[in-house]
Amino acid sequence: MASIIAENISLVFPLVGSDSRFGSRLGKKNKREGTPVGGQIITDHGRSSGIVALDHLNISLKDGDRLGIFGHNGAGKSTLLRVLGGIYPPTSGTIKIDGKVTGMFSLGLGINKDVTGYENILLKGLIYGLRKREIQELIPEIAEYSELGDFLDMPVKIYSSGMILRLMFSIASVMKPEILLLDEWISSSDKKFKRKMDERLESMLEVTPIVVIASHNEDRLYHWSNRVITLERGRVVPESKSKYQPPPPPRFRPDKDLLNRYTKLTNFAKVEEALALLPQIWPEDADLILHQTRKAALLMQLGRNDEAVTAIKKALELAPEDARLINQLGVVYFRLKEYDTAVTFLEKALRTSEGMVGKVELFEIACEKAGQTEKVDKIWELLDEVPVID
Amino acid sequence: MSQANHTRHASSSSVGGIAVLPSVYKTAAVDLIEGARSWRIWTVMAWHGLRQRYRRSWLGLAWITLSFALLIGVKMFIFGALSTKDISFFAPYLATGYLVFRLVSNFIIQGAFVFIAAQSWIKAEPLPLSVHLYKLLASTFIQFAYMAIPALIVCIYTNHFHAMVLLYLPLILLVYAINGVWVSAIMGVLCARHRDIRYFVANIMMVLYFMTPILWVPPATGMRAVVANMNPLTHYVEVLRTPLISGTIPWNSMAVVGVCTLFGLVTSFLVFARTRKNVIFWL
Repeated sequence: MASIIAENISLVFPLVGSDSRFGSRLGKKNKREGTPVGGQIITDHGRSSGIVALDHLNISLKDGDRLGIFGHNGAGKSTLLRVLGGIYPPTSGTIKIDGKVTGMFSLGLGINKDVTGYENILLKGLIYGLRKREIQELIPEIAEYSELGDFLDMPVKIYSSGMILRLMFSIASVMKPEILLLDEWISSSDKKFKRKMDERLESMLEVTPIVVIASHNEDRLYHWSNRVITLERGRVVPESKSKYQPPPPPRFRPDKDLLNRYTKLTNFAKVEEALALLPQIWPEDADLILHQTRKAALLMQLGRNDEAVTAIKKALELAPEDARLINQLGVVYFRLKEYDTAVTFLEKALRTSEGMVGKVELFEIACEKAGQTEKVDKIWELLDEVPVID
Repeated sequence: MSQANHTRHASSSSVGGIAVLPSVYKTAAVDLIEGARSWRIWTVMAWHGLRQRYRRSWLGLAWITLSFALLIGVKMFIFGALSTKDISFFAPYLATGYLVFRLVSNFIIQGAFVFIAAQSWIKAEPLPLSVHLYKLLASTFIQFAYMAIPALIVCIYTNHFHAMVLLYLPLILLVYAINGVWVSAIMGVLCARHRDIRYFVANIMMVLYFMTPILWVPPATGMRAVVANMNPLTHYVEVLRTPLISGTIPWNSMAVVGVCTLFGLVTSFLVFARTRKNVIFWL
């Protein structure tokens, strides 16, 4: 079982050598006011001697925790992430890390730019504790997923930053860590790869015991985390003072045993029985949207697409803008071979979610069948597709 | 694996100095051991570093051998003529002396950069800090092997190769390796904290090069004999050179090297253990 226990940790970045001259104008002023950016600067005899990056934080994480760290630039997000990953030792306080850590902290770090992509895969694999043979087995998957092709034979210094991101994310995503630490740079890629990353991240979130994500995009944080803390100048902002919305209220929590039985039934394609069990797990009045979406999914498996349409439309009455529901509706119409309607809904799902929900490939086929191929280009324009290396 | 189950304890300011001491040294020892066990990582890092230096050249790593051969060739030609010793003795004397000096100076000069050059890794992966010391060790010994080729050829050609050296070659290499680790550890830490030191060291190494009997053979008495004897590098050179070209064991030098190794090891460990935690903040 993986865990991180950080008790009362503080971190001060010392300013050493001639660096301390920079702060000499601060004089005896001990606190900087008026800006939430950056940590507090400590001065000693009129010279700056350090920057308080983290100020007495307590964090304890166990299996199943998905912690989001929100804050301004310089609020201490990345520093905290590195402390949790065992990179920076805290100046005071204790931290205990149990489990294999994979961190994606910064694009330029932890990669040898003078050697090729393949050699970096080897090195990273060794650092993650794999043997050469095991890494060789992973290489095809990394190569395919990163879509870097022949570039893996080239030194990394000729890569663009997007290509380095592809390489590093692809390596990290196959390593199966117990603790995954992600910094916000994960959003700096072209949209197509971002979608791929999001999909892979979703699946990594499911299997990785502990995940910590730092970002200044609250929407993504709330989407991925089950707990979000806000940092300001290295301190945790108490929730009442936090300017940001608390996470959405937890959905109806179904009975665990029933849910297990349900999962088993669906795994063994016993769709009819699963359908019968459904009202007990998510009663219609408790969580209508989830009830109807699951029901629709099962009905679709049984080929009862007309009933699926009714189910989804019921849920849509409650949440008319839910991209997932709209997408599901598009898929059902596609199955029903009503391609014109399918195109309308699939397009709407892709547009409202900016490509986060839905499959462009399915949309392309639907457009072709409906004879509306001009819509495909428009969607790609929307998704801001940058040409991918062949 | 290094990432698994490692604990980092920070000394809280309220804890008394003595109570903190053992844990600092223990974690430093764990760092050194864990680092050594990660040999798969640092050997690959060392190879990547060396190969990258000669990338896109046709001869590749053979340049190490070639440039060393060229250097000792020129030195034999110029200084051999100035020396009173016969060239058949002076040639292997110079070649092996210079070979060891390059090994030692590599540890000192590269050691100054050992953490600075590795900062991209130190800031990204929770590896033991000593991995970078061992990487330098591997890289230096690979270069040493390439440079040893022309030096050995000179020894064999001038009939100054005593096979008995093979008996304690492993011991001497081990002594060099231990010294390489402590030298690079203390240099790495000091130069990460005080950036001026490395410029100072580069200059000192030039002076030491001339103060070490490589281009000259020390007389039995006089000022130059004193200089040679007081310079510990002389003894580091002699422990390999004398058995190799003369077939005798320099007990005196062995003792000096032994004392230096022990003293350096202890000092360096104390410095490394107490500063290890801060190194990342100095980069």
